[in-house]
Amino acid sequence: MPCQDAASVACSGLPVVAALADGLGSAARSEAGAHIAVATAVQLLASRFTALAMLPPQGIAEALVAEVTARIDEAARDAGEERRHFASTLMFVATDGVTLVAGSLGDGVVSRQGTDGRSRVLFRPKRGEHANETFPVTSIGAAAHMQVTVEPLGGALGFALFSDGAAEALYQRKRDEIAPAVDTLLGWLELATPTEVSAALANSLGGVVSEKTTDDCSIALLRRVELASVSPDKRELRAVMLAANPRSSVHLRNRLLALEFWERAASGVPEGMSPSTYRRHAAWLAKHFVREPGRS
Amino acid sequence: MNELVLRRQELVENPTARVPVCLCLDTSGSMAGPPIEQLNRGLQEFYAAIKADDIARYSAEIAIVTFGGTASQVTDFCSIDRQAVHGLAADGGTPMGEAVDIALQLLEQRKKEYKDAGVDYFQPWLILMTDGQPTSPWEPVADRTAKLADAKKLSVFAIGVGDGADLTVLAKFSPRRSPVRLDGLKFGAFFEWLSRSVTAVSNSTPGQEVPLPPPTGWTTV
Repeated sequence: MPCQDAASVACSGLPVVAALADGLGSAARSEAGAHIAVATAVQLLASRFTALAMLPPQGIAEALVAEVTARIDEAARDAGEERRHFASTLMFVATDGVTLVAGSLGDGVVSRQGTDGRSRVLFRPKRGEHANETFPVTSIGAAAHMQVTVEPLGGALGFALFSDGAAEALYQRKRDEIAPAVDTLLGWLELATPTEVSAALANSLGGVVSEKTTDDCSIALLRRVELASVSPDKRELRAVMLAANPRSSVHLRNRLLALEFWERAASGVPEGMSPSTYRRHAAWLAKHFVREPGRS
Repeated sequence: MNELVLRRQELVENPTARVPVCLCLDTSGSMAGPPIEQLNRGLQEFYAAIKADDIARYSAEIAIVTFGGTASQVTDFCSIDRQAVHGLAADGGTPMGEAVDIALQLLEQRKKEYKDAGVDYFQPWLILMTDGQPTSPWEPVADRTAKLADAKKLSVFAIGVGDGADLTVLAKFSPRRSPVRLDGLKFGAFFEWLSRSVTAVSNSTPGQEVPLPPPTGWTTV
């Protein structure tokens, strides 16, 4: 049986959104349902974040469930199947850097890392009485079962969303505690590029984490990373961060040109750049970077 | 990147989700002789089969209540590794109602213990086997059992042994799954099916519908 979990992120601009869904093993098309759920949630939250953040939590739940089930119904019609065959859970975290909109429907876990560097439970699993009973997005009254919060982002450093399979190793049910491993995983995002972290995550989920369960294991991570904290030898990571949230391709090109110039502490301005533009970029770089020793 | 490695010590441990199974077995006088001998043998094979499965041996928890003369609890729920089942003896009447009442109390108590300990559990199972008819009031407890089954809080499997078993009575306990009659004294085949079914549930994941093996080889057609 293929993995029935799906994850999706939007991080090329603000808001940043991550979503994860776990397709139910009893539903024939749950893998497709999970993909539809995360793609729809990410698209909706990224495109209508401000409007959604003004709704009460229940309104956000209803909007998300309505949109996801509408897309599932389209897919079900095309496949000649019923909606319930696309059953999956859904978790999401979205932030514009000021406001947090997050939610969970089903038996996954969402954690938030505080300023002390420790992750704590934001949403715990919600299921029926028995271990094999959960609330999928396709169920009647799904929106009423969705846990949603809208609040200031505050000092949150990061978030982790994980399916119930991964939760077997990362969430201690009786103590309601998040495993230290989650903070380790979030820390990786300060050490390496998202691509490298994804590869390392795949190794861990397929290795030590999957030893704890026979279920699919999936995790999505969001971490606030300050450029100043990234060491100069992590050039690829710095490049990824420099490219984050570009206002335009010209803006990005100028940012990279300014970096080369600024790192050499050269006098004047880069060729083709106005002094005021360079001053803006240099100020941004000085705020976020430590100039590499020996370059000045 | 060598530093991106997760260590086992950074993970947490959670208890395996449990499958509580209560065997409510007729040990009345009419079960004397080959029936009780076959039942005892079947039970031993059932325990051996559960112990042989890596997951079921930690997930399945078995309690036994018998009704022969009096209704009594023979074993309480606990890890199957710590249980020893001694031979059951046949004697007396058939107080089925009292026995099922004890079984329901045991299941409720166990569920409370799971909740207090943060242990997930699957829908409890009640296996009711008899070769006769109840010899004391049974209707109220049958109603309670049926309501639990209808609410999907309990899976009931009712099995009649021999021609003397009244399947219409058993049906009152099991509205969602029709009672079946054991083929002769094929207790071994029944318990082999039961161990495969418990193992299937033990190995399932949340949200997964668990198709049980077909009840072939031990029921009459």
